[in-house]
Amino acid sequence: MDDNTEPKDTLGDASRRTLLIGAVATSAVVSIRPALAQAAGSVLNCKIPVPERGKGMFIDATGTLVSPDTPGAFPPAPRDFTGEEVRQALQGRNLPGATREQSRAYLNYIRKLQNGQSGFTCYASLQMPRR
Amino acid sequence: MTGLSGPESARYAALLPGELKRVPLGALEAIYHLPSGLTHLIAEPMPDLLNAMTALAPGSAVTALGLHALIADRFVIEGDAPDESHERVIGQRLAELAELGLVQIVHPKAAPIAQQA
Repeated sequence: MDDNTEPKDTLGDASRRTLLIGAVATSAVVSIRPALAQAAGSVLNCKIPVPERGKGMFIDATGTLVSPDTPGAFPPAPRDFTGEEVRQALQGRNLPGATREQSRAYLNYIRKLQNGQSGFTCYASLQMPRR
Repeated sequence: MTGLSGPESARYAALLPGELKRVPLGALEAIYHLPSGLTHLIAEPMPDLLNAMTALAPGSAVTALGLHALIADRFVIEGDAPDESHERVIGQRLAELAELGLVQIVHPKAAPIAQQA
């Protein structure tokens, strides 16, 4: 009886399913944070290499990778930093084993991480709102 | 939520195979994001958008416009408001997925972390 009510997009193809893309009708995402004990094994312990391994590059004050002979550039961090260490450094603490300037350079490098680079998802997960 | 970056020109790519463990749960889908250890429950249209993203050729990226074109063949797309641009809404959904790390944002101008007000 409702045959000709609201022909959708005039493309009414019976083989196509309706996909609701709006935010009102659907609650798109709920994130489940691991309980504290598990968090220790995940986000806070995830690793951020500075810089990615095997590149032999130094890091200047702006966080850019530069050749090792660049004046004022810092050597690569001797070990990966954990998510928790980076989180604390973002709040003003120095990264372990790094001077203030060095820490700042490393953090600038970390801030520039792009998807696909080692450590990006770890850093991105530190940025996610905690609710 | 504020700071959903994602100008419609932003380009997105699927994660590497194996970085997401997806379990359909009826109307919802549980997604375990291996790199962060977080689990997300997502609902329509997110699983279908992710499906379309993972069907892309490895290493390729799409804009909201491109993704809309990809799924328009298979779905009758409906937004909240009739006068709303579907591409724009899909761009918002993509930005949300990117914020969770479930897709990668591929932006030539850096600053992938949502930082705008």
